[in-house]
Amino acid sequence: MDITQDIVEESEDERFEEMSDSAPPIELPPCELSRLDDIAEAIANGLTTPSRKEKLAMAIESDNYIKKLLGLFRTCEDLENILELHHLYEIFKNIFLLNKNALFEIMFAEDTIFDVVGCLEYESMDNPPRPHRQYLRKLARFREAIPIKNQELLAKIHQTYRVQYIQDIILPAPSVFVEDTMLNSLSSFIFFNKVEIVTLIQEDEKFLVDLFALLTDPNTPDLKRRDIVLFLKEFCGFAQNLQPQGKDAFYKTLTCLGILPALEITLVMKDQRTKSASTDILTAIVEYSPSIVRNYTLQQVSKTDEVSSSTIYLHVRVRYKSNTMFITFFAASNAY
Amino acid sequence: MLINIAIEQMLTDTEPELGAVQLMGVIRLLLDPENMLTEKTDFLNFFYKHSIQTLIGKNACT
Repeated sequence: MDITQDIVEESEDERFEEMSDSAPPIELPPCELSRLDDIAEAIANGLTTPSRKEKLAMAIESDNYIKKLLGLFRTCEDLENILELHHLYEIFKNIFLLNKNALFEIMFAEDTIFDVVGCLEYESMDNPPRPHRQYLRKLARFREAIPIKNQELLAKIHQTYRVQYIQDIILPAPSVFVEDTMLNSLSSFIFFNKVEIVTLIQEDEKFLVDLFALLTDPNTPDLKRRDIVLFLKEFCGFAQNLQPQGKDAFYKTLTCLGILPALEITLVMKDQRTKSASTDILTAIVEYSPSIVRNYTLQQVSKTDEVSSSTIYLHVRVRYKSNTMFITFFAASNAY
Repeated sequence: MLINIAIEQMLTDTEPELGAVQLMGVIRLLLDPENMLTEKTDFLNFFYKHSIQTLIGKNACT
């Protein structure tokens, strides 16, 4: 019985030590090419407990460590040193797993993000590096089809798409070995970026007014119109992250700008992507508040004589092409 | 009119999985009296008068 109690006390002590700050801070090896394998090992070892993760994150945050690592990365790429490039992959993959917002802020800055993504290209020692940076550059060019003059906003949009790409494509997906919660700071980072983007865009009245003018101008080329619709679809998507008041203001803004008449134009365009994105925008509006569309519809027609009716159940079978589709309409009773 | 355009698009869509099914969902939401507020009477009147023909059109109806 005595022995059992001793063991219990010991593990309690161990747990207490992990939780307290009495353990010494983690010191990383100096940031040099010859020490990259030691650095990779030190970082991998720092992921074992929450307390060690905290200390490791602090060490990495200090003394410009990330910038120094990226300097080494550029050197290694020039030298085509595959072994060290792979160490850098391991290092940065593990820095991501630290799940620390402060580190994300450093890594996702405009002057560092491409080098970080570069490190993540060297996942495999045997296969060639995956062309993530190449893809990200193409991504940026598409988004710029929309004329955004606000540099802060533009930078934030680029950053958000790049980080989304990192989360969706580059990093390990949730699985048995990587828990769902492991990268939740990354999701939060993206979430808050989107909220900020939606807010910044709504504050820039001129931008939105110009955008809608371009959208509805008959002289606007179809491809440009398509890009604007795609942008608006993303815009609605971002707005899903807003609080209820924010969402309310958002849909009011869109309605005032004339999204519904605009959709009348874009829903009938031949281009499939335009049509599809228009449907998505309409869906977002109707799901939020069908009354917006109903009231708009009523505005479009002057009221005519009322139809008196009783309860009607209408089953309509509509045949189109080779399929049949059943639509059931539930009608209420109208009494005057 | 937007709602008639939506109905027409739904009916003429060559690949239903892409747009028609989604539009059908939208139209059902628009027609659900459960979530109608003050516009209920006016909207349903409007729909019977202006949109039913679009929906039924030249097609058979049971």
